[in-house]
Amino acid sequence: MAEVDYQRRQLLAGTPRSTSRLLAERGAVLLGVAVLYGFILVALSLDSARHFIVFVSVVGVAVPLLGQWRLVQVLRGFGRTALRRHQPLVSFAVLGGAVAVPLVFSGNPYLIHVGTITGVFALMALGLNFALGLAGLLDLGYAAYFAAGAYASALLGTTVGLSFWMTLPLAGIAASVFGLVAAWPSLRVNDRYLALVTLGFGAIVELLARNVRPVTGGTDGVLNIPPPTLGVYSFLDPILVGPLTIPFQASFFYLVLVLLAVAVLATGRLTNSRTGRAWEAIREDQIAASCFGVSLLKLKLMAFMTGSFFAGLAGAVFAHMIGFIHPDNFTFSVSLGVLCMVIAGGAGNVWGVLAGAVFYIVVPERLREFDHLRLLLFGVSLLLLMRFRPQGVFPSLRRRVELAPERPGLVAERERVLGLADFARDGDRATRELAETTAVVEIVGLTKSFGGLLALNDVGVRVARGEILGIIGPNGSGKTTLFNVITGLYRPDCGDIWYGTPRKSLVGRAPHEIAARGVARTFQTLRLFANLTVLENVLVAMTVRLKRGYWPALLRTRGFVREEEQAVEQALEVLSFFGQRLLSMCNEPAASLSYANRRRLEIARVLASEAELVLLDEPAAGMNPAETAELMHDIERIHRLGRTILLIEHDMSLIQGVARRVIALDHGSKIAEGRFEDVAENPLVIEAYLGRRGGARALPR
Amino acid sequence: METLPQQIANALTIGTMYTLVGIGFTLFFGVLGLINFAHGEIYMLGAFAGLAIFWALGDGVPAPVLVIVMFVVAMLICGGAGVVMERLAFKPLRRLPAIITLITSLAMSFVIREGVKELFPDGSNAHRYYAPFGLKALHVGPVTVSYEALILVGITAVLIVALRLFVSSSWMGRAMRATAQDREAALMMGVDVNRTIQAAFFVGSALGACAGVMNGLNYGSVKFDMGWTAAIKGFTSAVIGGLGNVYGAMVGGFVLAFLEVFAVDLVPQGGEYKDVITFAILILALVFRPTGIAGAFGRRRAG
Repeated sequence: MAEVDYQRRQLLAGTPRSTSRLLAERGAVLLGVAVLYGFILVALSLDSARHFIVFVSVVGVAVPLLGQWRLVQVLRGFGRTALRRHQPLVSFAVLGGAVAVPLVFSGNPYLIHVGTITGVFALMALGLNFALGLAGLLDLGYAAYFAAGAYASALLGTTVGLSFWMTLPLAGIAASVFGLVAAWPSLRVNDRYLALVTLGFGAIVELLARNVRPVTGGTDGVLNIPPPTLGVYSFLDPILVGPLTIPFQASFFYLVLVLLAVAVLATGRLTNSRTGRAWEAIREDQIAASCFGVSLLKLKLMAFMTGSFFAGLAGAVFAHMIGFIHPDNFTFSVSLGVLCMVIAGGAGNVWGVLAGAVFYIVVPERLREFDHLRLLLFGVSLLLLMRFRPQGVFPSLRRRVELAPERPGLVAERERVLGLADFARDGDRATRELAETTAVVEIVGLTKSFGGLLALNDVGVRVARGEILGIIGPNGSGKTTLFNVITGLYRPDCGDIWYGTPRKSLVGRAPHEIAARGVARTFQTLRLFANLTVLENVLVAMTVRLKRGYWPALLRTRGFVREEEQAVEQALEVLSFFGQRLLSMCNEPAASLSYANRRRLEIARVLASEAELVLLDEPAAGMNPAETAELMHDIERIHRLGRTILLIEHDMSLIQGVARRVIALDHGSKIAEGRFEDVAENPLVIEAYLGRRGGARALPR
Repeated sequence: METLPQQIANALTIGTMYTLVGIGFTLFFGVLGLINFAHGEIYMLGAFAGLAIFWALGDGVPAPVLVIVMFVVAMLICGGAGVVMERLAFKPLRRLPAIITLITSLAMSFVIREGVKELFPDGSNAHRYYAPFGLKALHVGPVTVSYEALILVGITAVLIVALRLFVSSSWMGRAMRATAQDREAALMMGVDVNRTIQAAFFVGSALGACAGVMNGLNYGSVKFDMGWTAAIKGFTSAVIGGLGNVYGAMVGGFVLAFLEVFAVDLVPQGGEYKDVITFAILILALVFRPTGIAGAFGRRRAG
């Protein structure tokens, strides 16, 4: 056992890198961060707006021009790899630079204050990133959560007299509750109008802040909000470090920095967990996500509440820093600004979002004399981004696993080492033991109509454990509808679907509940999570198997880390089912796969879910004969793993090759059932395919 | 507290504007699956185009001629602006997710609004609008109705009848309904979808501009930020009528106006909460009745 573990590690370990390359990469990361800081500092220290504009335009023109240069391109490629490989170093470099800011600029309190405001907005932007960047939910009322946090903390601080350290978490919780209230009604029904509902919610919160005078102080705002204190030290006292006197603004700066670090950490941890993957799966394809066990409503609300929590923290810090809040601080332009930061930076990418916050605060701050153009800047930049770069300036970096370079003969070895052979043998035994003894699915009198069209009419069939049942029928005969009803996407008008031991009905269950019961499917019209990597696609499909969710991921418990490592290994194992075809692409986005490989990835997801009942919807559609032959072999191997398979297919050679029993549908009714040869000779089936006076004797082979 | 007949008269007056703006929202949603935030700014542009005509022609022209010229020019300019906006901002994004066009229209609305603020002479301040009848008004018993309001209701009635005929009977109206049902199928049936979409933008924007001029005539002043509220109210009317349902939007604006007028009366200090009420109606309508009061609209592509 220990030896196998060792071998696994060898197979999964990263490519060996030379020490000099490692040093060069680290140097590149540090240099890159230093150059970035240099730019920001130069931009900030330019006195006149004109100089600033000239500087920004020169940089803006020079960088793309330099990018044309071959050498720069090579360097950039190197830098990108370095950034990806040395994420912790990047974090420390950025953090170190930020920590140094108040020390370096101790003579310039204004600049530190701008830094703090940037941090407050960055915190909000990271919050919105959960909803918009990860889960793809557009929230146009973000200022409402900021307001909720600010007012909660300010009012608790002034009227109840709680200390800031008490009100800070309460502000976050208050904002989360607002997030829940804003999102729940529309998410429960349908999220098509979420953006507008949240827009309305944000406007209502602002109007209430203005008009409910007894509570919020109306347009007088809340005054005299006490600064945070630590023991005898107040946040309004300057910090004395040896001979250096750092202005009091630095206290708030460091406070925000700590909260930002927490937000960045939380984003990183959640992204690489069941929860974060489910969010991204929702963004990519809700239907597929729900069919692999993602509970849509619950996860969307979690994204909303996590995000608004950070907005609430930002509001609390803001209120206690300025000492005074007013409804004008929470207008729609705040929501718009935060939206710009997330979109410009690159939705989903923490560093991009932070860069977006720096850009959208620092640029207008340097151009104060043109402050009336601020909203125009927001508008124009959003317009250009949507037109030319909707994925943002820095699209998200996907996590990569590094595989050993492939040597000849390794595939067989991998199958042996990773236990796939055992897997298959066990499956064979399972099949033999259970073969055709018990019905795993029993469909009774299933009927579904759309308006006047009867898509399924009293369909009934029993499927034995470990059986492959072929489902044929002309286009529009109700085959895919049958799958959609089984997986819970449609609710049948009448009839029942009994599944599993002990038998329970699947009717009326949501798709994610049915997935949790061990049913998985592929889609005729491929529904991969296009912007997730191949590996992540498979990991999403393992949702129902992973026990550790939101809190273990945030706290990074030992159990979570172990489960995550195992999940990645099992996912690679599943990918190796198709040899090198998918394994070699495991770090690439699913969108980059060839057509046949996309179909294979659909099957890999089903395998990864470890569902007992596998529904394959035209897996061979669009494949050439060689690929179809390979697919037939694959389906047999899946069958040997002990899975029960329902197979919809138009390619009759495939059906004939693997299905022991076939049913034929026509106009929603079952017209034949039995061995393929019998069904294929059935006059009703021939008529369904070829028409009454077709004169053909058999189905096209 | 105002009397019931007076409230009905007020609701009818503001309902005309909500309805005309709402029709634009519903047309754009129908043909493109687009929620066009920038439509409120087209309404504002219309009001300012009317203002420019008023400044240019001044009081030298007889009042009826001036009013007609204001309406016609504002409608033509804004109809054109709507078509240009569609061509530049939305056409390149047609195959992209709805969230991107939504954000684009939001950005567009800020660009137009801030553009007018910066470029129109003294754009950041409110401007007095043309008042053909001064302070004169019609008194019927306890009800006071301004002559402007009568003109508004009259013009709106004519426009709605014309639009109804256009949508139900003209070739282009049929093309619009077909495109709204299924753009690709319409394309295959030989409908020039691009021209149809442009026509929808022209008609919708022209009606929006009309509402903008009406707003100026009714309240006597216009400001660059008037479009945002109008967008919310127009959109809410469209939702009440059922997004994409042109006939629904024709009544949606009046329903919203009546709801607002009476809710303001029922809620204590209702005047202060008027916009809260509108937003609440919008949220309730979206959550509980997204298909509108008519409840009859087919499959939509917006995601």
